[in-house]
Amino acid sequence: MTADTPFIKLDRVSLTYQSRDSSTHALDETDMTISTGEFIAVVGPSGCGKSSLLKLVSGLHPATSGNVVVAGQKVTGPLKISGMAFQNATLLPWRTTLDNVLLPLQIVEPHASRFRKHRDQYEAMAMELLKLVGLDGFETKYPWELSGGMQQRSSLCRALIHEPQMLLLDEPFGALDAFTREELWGVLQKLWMTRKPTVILVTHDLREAVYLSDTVYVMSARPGRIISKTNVALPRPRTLRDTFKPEFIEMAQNLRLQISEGMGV
Amino acid sequence: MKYWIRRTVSIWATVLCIVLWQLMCVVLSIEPFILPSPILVYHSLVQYHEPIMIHAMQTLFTTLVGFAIAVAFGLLLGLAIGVERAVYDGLYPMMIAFNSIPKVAIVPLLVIWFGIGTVPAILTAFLISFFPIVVNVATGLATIEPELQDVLRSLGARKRQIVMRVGIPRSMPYFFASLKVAITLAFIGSVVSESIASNAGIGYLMIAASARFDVALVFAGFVVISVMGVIMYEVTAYAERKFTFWATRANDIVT
Amino acid sequence: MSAVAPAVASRFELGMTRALYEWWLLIALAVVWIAASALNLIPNSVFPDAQTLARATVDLVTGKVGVLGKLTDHVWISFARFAAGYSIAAGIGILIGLLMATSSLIAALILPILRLLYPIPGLAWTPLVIMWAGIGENAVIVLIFLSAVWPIVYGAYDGFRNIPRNYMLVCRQLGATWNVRVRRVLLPAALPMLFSGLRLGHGMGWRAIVGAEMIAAVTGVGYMLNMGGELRRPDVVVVGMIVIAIMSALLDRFVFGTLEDRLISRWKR
Repeated sequence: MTADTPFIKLDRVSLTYQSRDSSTHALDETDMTISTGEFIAVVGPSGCGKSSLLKLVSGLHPATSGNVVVAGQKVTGPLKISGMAFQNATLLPWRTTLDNVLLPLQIVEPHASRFRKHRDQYEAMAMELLKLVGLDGFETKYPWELSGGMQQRSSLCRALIHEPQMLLLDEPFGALDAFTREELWGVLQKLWMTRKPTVILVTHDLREAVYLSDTVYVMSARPGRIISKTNVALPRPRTLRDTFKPEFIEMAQNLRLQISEGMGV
Repeated sequence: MKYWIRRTVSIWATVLCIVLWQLMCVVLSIEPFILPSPILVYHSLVQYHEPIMIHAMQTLFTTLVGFAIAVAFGLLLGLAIGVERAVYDGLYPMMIAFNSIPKVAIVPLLVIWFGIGTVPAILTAFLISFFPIVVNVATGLATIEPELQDVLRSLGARKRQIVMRVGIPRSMPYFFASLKVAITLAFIGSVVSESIASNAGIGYLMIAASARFDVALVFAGFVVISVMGVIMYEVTAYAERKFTFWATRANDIVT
Repeated sequence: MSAVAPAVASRFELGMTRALYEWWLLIALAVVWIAASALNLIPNSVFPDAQTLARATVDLVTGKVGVLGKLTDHVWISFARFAAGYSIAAGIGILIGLLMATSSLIAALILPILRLLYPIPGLAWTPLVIMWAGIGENAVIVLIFLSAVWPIVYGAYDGFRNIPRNYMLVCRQLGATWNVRVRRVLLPAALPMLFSGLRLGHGMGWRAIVGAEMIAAVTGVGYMLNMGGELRRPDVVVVGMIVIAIMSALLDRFVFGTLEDRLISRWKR
């Protein structure tokens, strides 16, 4: 794929949820272009349709109008090339950490049909990922024996185990305390730099957005639309120390102002 | 030490009650016809241990068969209701109606169909106990987190896969919890049905004893019922702890 | 006016399609049953067809079935027995619960007995009660009482016990009289728990009355059901079942539903 063909392209995409007696206009005429291996963040006020964006890109929900194109194909259903993680780690309590990470391989093809035969090989893959996020030694623990941060690390591993080309994150660190959250920024950055998936991160945390992404999109209040796009040109790997630098702080503050304007304040 | 006192408090309370009961009977010299003393009940238990054993086995048999049918049927129906919206819609009003009829009211109909005896008792045990199993299994299936469904669906998982990998394990704690209720209900159903329409079983034994005004034997039947009820409850509670050990701990998951 | 009409029609249609969706099984079964009745396919010795059920209902209401008596009489008798047994259970249950909540000594004395007796199904008492009270009115009332009283005691105990200490502190601070304390604070605060106990007890008592009348009475809907069984009259049994379901649903929905709306939802808001 050449540099000019975008990996994800949204072309005047609108989304309206229709229920029995009400309709919600979640996204309005949104355009977006994300290149292969890019890490983008989407920020905006609550309920502005950020999560809807992920549902559209993953193919879980069809657009009401407009086109969503991923990897050169129009999205019409689940793509099977994406990994997802949410604020809630949603690990299965009856499986060990290792088995939780392996879950996608038991579902997605071609792994599912080969899983039984090549279990050792897959377990090695999972162990490698767990090591990368600092969870080696915890693979036989159950989720309820892990801390919130560790659960979220396993959740990231589960999202990446089938080597997806695209990683969709919906406020993955939203429920963690500030210190754990910042520690996990580093973990996620490391994962991204080793695996290079295209990432869409939905977050409320502007420092998180600036720390992690190449591009930050700001969305307006409902119906959501993109109101600005900021390139974060800070060198990688970024460290916690970078977050105290003036250019970092200035960028975060600018984003904050744009969000206020988007809310019509 | 304190822990053991707390663990065994119900046993101590029972022992205390029995002692008080005996004292009361002796001190107030209550007629055995009104309230037999524990010792008289014990004598009755010993004297009639053979017929009591036979009738208890009959009750155990009807209870367990009815319970087994309820488990199989309840599990299947619960899964169907939890997975398929149309089944839920269709059955819901019927279940509500069915649940508002006391199950004893069905016994006469069962007697017309199958005659007096074992079959109505088994069917009463089944009818009275399958409902909580259905409700719990369906509820358990409904607790799959929507995010997890998204994760699986984005991987291209079909509904069947989601149900097998996540739904069924997820509903198991609910299922096992319902078994504790169901076994007790099945037991009640058997005993009641035997009291009304049978010539065997503990329920029949007690009614027969009361017709002969053998108060001590009625109380002996009471004791047997209580002991059997407690044992069956404990067995299902043990199964619950054994098979879904993760569920009690899973509540600690940070969400 | 004409602008409103289509909206009304479509809502009606919507309602009909929804009913069809949600009640499809019930409707399908009813259709099958009526069709089979019309074609005389149902053996009445096994299950009544529509015309037999209708005839049985009419006969029972008018009292033309001889030994089975009049349905309306049975309904009133059962109802009166239930009212008697349940009122006694409610009165005594609430009193015991209140006493237990106010005195930890009483609670310590009664709780073990309660734990022992609560799990015993009301109907298991039948043989004993028959010996104590004989067959008839008293036995049934006692059995209803024994079935309904335990959840009421527990509900009252939990309700009165869990009143936040702060409420009582505020009362004392404000110098509220006993009357005000009970009427304005204690009762409303305990009501949700108390009420759920009463409702649970109602269900238990209702379940018990049928069984109790089958074994220990010669009147009442339960007796009628049992006689229907002994006379091998499925139509009578089915009429009895329907009547019982309707009675219990009416009581639960209207009496308790209304009370709950009136008394509890007001505060929960």
